[in-house]
Amino acid sequence: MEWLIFGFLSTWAVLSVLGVLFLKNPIHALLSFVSLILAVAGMFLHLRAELLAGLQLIIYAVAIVVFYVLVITTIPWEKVKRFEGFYKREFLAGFPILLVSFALFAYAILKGSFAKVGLEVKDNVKEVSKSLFTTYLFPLEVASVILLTAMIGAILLGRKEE
Amino acid sequence: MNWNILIPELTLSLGILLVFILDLFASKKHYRTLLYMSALVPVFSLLSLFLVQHPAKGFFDLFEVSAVNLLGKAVLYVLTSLSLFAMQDYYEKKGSVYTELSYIPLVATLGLSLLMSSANLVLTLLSLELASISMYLLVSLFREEYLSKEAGFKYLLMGAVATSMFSLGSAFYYASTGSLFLKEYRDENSLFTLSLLLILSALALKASAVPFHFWTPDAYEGAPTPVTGYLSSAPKVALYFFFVQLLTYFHHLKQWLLLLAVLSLLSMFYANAVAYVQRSVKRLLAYSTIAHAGYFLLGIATVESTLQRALLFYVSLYAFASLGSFVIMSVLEKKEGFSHHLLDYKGLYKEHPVLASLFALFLFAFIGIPPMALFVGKLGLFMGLVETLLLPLAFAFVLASILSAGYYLRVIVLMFLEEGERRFPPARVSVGEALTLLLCSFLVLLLGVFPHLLYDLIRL
Repeated sequence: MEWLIFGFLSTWAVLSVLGVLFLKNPIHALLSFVSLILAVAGMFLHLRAELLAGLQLIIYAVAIVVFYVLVITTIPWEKVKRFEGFYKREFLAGFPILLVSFALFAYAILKGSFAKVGLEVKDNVKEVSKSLFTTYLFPLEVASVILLTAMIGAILLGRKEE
Repeated sequence: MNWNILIPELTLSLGILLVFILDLFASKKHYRTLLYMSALVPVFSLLSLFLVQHPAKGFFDLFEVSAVNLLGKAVLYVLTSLSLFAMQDYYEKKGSVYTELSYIPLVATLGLSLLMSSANLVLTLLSLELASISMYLLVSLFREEYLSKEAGFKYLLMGAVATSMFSLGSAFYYASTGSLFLKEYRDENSLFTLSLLLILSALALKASAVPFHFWTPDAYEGAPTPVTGYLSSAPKVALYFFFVQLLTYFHHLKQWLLLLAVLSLLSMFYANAVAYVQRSVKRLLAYSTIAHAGYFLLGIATVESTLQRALLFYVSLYAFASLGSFVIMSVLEKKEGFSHHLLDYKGLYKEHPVLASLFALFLFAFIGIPPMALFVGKLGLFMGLVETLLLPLAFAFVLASILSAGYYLRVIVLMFLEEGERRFPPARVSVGEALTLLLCSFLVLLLGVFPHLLYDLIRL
């Protein structure tokens, strides 16, 4: 049963990624991105990580997608370079490498042994916040500096030059 | 908890905040003051390094300081300060004054400084990201230059690939060891090897080793030249100091040596061959950086303290030489109509004897001619490789170094022996640039004659 659910969710996720990559209309690509997020949230639920699933939905599916929609509406589409056809030569050169690395990854993961991590977690929210505000407090602060820098950068690059 | 391990970073952050707040109120005409202020911030951090008690760990063991990474931080702060001093006049002459640019390099340095101390993959990823995002900004902030925007975008895309590889690698690391802390793990586990492969690829991309080098020539060419100087010096120092720490956890894997040998051989020979066909001196030096990434990666092929000490000495001095050479190029670029085409360098000696001589000094240093400190680094690296019986790598290193001499010498020949065809208005060297050039060349010469001044400080 578990494999069935996982199989369904992962096929869904892979198909949506392909949609993001290959759909030509930006709105369609965006919708397929939303579908990817739903699939990943489903996977988190299936792994009993309700908190992550909820955050995934709130942060990605709502906040970030709204930003993407805003960006798409502000882009002057008449100036944007049109789709110039499929990069066939690059694809043919890159595809074998993709296959080999996929095989390598699959082999390494299937053959590797996974570490046993701790006990069954009862309360997700409690555990996540505990490690976020003790062990990983310092990286959390660094992340806030990253966001600040990225924001300054976005404003600098995005504003009109006088 | 022991708070004094964080003093240098705290000083740096306070400095950033101060400049940031002043920047909100100051107008464009205070640009020079702001920039000089922020150039002094790393100096204070440098002084505060003496207050740190080491070795110590803090923040739930995420952050560790040791004698070696304090030395790395010292080099990093000096480089940052010097490159900030060299930025001021260039941006003013180019009419591209962004007052924000005075503190963004400091943010990058903060990231790199945290990177050197990080003992946990989460902190590593975040500090690397902090540094990278600030560097994307530095590359792309150049008024009305299409190339710089393109370079920034390319760097951003490639950097995003590195980030995703690093995070996937960390996920596999967690899956195989059950923890995100860097620690010794001796089991035979293909999952762990996979995580190593991914993390190493991401770091190799940041260090611009072949086959992950594609962003380097474009980003270096498109970026404002003083920023290129920063890109080619500060991150390298931080990365290799971090690599040396990483080595203690990974060196026992038999794939480690193989991966590093492949990366470094590819980088050395590919970059040295491609550098010959470059027409732009800026691109040529970008390829020289890639070749140097190849040499440096040899220094972490196996654990051997002579090898690692030589590497750290070499990379620190290389950073100064590289910063110096890019600062000279930025001085020259202030002339009207000067591109970095090889032909523009013809007869430079007649026009600017001092600049041309300094440039030649740095190029000779890259080749590894004796009185310069990079020779000592090269020699140490070679000796270390011979000692660890990696003879094929040692000979490949020598061969690649000899191969590289050709394209450096061509620039020197053009500058000294040929007559210039085009006339440019003379370029003035500003105070900041003069300071940077003097210190860089002084260090490259001084530590070449008395290498033990720095060598004795590198205790592994």
